[in-house]
Amino acid sequence: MTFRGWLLDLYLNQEEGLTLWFIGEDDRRVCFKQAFPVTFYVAGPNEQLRALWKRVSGRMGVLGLSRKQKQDVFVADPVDVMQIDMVSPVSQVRLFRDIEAEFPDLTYYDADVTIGTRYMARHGVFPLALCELEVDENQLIQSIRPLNTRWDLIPDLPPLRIFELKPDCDPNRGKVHSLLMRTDRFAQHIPLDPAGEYLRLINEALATYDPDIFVTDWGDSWLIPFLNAQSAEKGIPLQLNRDGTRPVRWQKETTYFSYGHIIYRPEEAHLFGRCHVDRKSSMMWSDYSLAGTLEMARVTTLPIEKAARVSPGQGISAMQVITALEKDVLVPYQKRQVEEFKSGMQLIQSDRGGMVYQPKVGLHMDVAQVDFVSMYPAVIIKGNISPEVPLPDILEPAMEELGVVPLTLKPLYEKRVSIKKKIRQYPPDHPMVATLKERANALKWLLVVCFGFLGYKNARYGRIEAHEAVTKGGREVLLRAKEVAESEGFEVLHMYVDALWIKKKGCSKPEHFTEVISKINLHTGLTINLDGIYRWVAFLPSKTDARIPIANRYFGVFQSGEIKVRGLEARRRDTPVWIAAVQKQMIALLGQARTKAELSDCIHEAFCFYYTALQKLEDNQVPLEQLVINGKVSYALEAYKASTASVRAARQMEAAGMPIKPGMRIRFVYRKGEPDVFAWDLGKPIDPQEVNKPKYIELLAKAGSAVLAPFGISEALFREWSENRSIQLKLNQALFE
Amino acid sequence: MPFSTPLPSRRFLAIGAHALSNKMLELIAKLSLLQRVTVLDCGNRSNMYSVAKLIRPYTSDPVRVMCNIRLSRAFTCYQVVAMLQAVAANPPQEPLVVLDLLATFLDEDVELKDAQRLMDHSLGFLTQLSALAPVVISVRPIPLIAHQRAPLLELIKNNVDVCWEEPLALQTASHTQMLLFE
Repeated sequence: MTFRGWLLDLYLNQEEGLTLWFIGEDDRRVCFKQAFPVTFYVAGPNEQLRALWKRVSGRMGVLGLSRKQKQDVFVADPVDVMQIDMVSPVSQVRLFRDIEAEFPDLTYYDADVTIGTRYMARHGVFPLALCELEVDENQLIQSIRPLNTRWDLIPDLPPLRIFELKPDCDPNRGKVHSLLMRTDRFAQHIPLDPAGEYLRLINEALATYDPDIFVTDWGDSWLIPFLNAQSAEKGIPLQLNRDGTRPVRWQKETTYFSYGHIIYRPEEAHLFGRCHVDRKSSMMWSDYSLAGTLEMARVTTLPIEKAARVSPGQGISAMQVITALEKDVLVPYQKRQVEEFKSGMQLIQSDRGGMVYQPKVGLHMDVAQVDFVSMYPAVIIKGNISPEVPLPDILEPAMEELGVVPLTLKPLYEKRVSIKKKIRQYPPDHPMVATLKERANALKWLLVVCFGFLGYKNARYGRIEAHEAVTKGGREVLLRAKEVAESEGFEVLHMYVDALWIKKKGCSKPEHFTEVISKINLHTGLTINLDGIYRWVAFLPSKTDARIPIANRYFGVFQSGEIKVRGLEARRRDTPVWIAAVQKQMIALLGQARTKAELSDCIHEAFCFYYTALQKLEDNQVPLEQLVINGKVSYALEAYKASTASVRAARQMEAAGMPIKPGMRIRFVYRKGEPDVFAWDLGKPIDPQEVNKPKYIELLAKAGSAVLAPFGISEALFREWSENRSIQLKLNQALFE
Repeated sequence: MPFSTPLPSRRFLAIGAHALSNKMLELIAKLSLLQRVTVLDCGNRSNMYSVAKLIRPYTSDPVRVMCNIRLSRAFTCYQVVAMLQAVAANPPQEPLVVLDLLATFLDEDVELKDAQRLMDHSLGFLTQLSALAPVVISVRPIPLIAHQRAPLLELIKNNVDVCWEEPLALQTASHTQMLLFE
């Protein structure tokens, strides 16, 4: 029988090998099985390999053993390996676990490749790929081929059934009274009645609607554990999986370090036959939502449930593994390649980051911001920078044939550029625009992390020299751009890694910058775009010394009216919502000004707004939840020698029996007296009279003064005024002339 | 530290906060002014800017002196073993300084038994290397959150000739950022 449909889910099974769920073109949801033998490789001293051969020969699940020569990406010549063919992925995982414990010093390849990645490499099939299958009478897949690719600009996607279930409040904060159940056909509030009728309703809705994607809020940490426990307690069955033979699969909680942050991920609930996406566990949900998650799953081949939750680094890693498998290059289990020796001098020269040219502090009119399009990925592709390829001469590649990393990135980069072009073809309010933007954002994150991943210790295809070569290329490109801009008579106000802020008297329209942009493109070989022209932009100084400029700390308003803010309180995750909102609104009020002269009036408006906000705080009119500080603990509490406000709040939670893990967000409010913080998630109410208003005035004054600093009002003066209003504030009038 | 140059061909261990980075960089600077020195950085501690600053008052040719330093960095314990194996295959005749040897062995993703096995290998290579030239190893005390890994430090202590531990009073002293200009 021939079947056509989209692949939704794929997982291991003990008997046949794989279970695959498809959404048929006829809208049926169909499950097939497939045999899937897998192979892995071992290298090492002959004696040990002989011992291993004897150990695994004839063992259940082993289809065959042989000697081969294969290519290790970090070794010039092919390496001698022992090939172990296994009957199924399950038997491979078991055998590998055993022999790794017994022969830990051997080198293993292709040993821990995920099943989705293996499947993609062998059949070219990925999540939500439209496929054509040949299936026998036992529902076993005999052959499968994709009918589209990961790189389709407008992919042919299935009509997904999405089922949303969420509690009526944050379960960490209050008592949940009801659940909201919503699909494209119905929406219903279901009270959590003691008899458990809600379980029957959910079960019935799941059976009738038969969703593909089960979207929850706090599904991993609260909702699914709660429903399962209630189902067991009340004896009312609840079938969350489409595959009725399986229980929910729980993935352990974890804490990890990512891009300078300690991240805590709670336990994850994974379903079989449908996908569970918990919006509160999806770290990038606010950036790219469901459309971006599906795009991420398609291009990386990660299962949808995983693509929703993991960092883009894992996506890039999976893509590099596919490239390696497609090139018939071995995938190392443990990377053992080390840095080549350098002299102290060479380390100083190579171990640098991106180029930063400190800004000219103050207010500037008619400034253009020009950005390189995905600069580091473009440098990687142009310079063919990959761990196995000789390093380029700045941007000139050492060889033509692309290495694993650029080969992985090229289609990704081109797809993002094409999507961005497509977005520009539609009017801004077109329904396609939002989806395309979310997809472009997902791709952007993959491209962003690919550079960091080159230097990441655990990246299979990472190499510190390659990482350094990318920043070297980036610095060269930016310097060339600066030289071109200056030779065209522009003043360069600021440079930051991949962007330049330039101005020239008489240049205030996009066409005034066309020539300089095309010359930069020509001299660098990379694409640079006009991000926009600011009506005005203010580069801010250091908080501790007004004479020192700070890179990437500015705010301004584009000619389109769009406001751009970087490095201010409003951008920080830990800033209370209310303070961020006041700062944003002050900037928005300033943003109304089209000329320097208009700015003077707008400052007055912004100042009045600030004053009103201050009075609201003093009069207890600010809702408490908007004063919550979103802190974080990076280590286990016992490891802290000094006690920060977040740690003190975390200790309160721990004392109340709530387990605290490194990387967890800790919400608290500053209060008067001792203790000086109040952990927000204790679930107890706080008396508004207890709020430490002077502390919030201090925080608000900091945020407000950042906005007014370019106009001559210092933080110290502004804070003093905010605290007692006994002084008069004066603007620097010379700025408006 | 009770180590004075020239160092004999033995294994020295220095234990202290931040793996005694500043002191070890001083040692590297001092050695590099006299001879070649090989540095194996296992904890991202090789701040060559501060070494350059330390040697500057003593030489009119800092570039030449900086070129006396030969270094390589490892970011996982598997890489530490591979790096030591590679060095042992072509052993240097000059002093070898190993910075923050324990750092990568504290990685929770590596099981303790694997970390112990890899540390055994590493110490074997270091013993081999110390026959030809002095080997100076620095480590930091095991942090509280990794207390299960304490046997690794004991393993190192049992495999060196001289062990020096920073007094507690010095460990708790605050570490200040170096001034850009003095």
